[in-house]
Amino acid sequence: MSIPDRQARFRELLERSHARWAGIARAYAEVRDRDDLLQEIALQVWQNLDRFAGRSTLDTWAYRVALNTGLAWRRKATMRTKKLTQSKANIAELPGDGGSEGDVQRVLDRFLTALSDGDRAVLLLHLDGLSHADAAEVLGISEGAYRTRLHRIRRCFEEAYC
Amino acid sequence: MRLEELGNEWRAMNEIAATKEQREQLIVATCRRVDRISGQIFRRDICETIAAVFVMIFFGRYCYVAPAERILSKIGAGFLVCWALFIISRLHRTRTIQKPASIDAPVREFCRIELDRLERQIQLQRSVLSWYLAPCMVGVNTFFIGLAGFGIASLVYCIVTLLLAWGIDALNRRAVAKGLVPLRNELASLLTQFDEAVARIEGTPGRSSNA
Repeated sequence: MSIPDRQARFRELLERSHARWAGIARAYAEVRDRDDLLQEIALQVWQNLDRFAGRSTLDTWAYRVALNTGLAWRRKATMRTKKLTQSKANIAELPGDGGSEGDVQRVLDRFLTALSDGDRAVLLLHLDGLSHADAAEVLGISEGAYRTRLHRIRRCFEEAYC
Repeated sequence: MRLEELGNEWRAMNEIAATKEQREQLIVATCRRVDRISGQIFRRDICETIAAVFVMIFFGRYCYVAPAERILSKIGAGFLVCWALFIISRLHRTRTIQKPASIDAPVREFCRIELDRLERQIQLQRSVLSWYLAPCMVGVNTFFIGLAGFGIASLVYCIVTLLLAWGIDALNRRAVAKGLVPLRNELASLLTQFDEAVARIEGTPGRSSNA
């Protein structure tokens, strides 16, 4: 693929997926590192565009790249800061009756932070509106396994906020 | 508040964060980083090759021009030339055969391949004494003894180089314990989360058919 072709393809993809990548950066990086992670995701997608074989849609493929980049980033960041994931107990400390928009965002951010990296990936796929089939394909697990995982997360959320 | 209701909120929140200006900036920054990374990899490869070529030329030339009675130091120099060749080939093999996991693999697969690669990396770094330091020590000490003869100077030189090797090995083991092992544990834990989900489904009769 020539550089102008690649750039055009990347531009189109970015147009459609920028918000999703921003969401992944939001979920896996500290506030100060989000732009860096977003840039890293863009770089990985750019560098690997040639590898896209058309077995899934380009958007699903890019989501997979973005999620893998986010998870790898998180692991490196954990090593750097030695700050491990917050314990599940923190969920109980969060406000449970967010009514306004700001509260909803805060609850979402906190709930995501409280989840393990794997559960966070499952929830992100759900929040971004991917179908169960696409989400399972991104994760490399069966649809049933994805649903079970999502069900557990939903229960956990409802216990804390409903 | 229900989880189902939060999807729209989440997407709206990220749409706001992803403006057209930011997209343009991201494209520019990505193009710049692609150029920079290619340059870094090229420089690293060049530096390693120059170091190896220097060792090979210096000690290779010695092997060739040194008088015949310096047989021991010639053996040491020859050993070091072979060692440099071996290190270059081993590093090259590590980079080409043990490639990082493809970033566009499914997440579970990506984690598994990364974990395998990390395990191999840990093994490689833990055994650095046997494949990297020890042959080098044998080479430099044989070379030095060949030049200085058996005596107090050679003994001191041997002790100093052994201490140096021990120090490098200790630093290396520390780096593995502090950096790679926690990373491996983190990755193994993530993989377990996905594998558990799959095992739960496969171990529950009747549910896998629904999937």
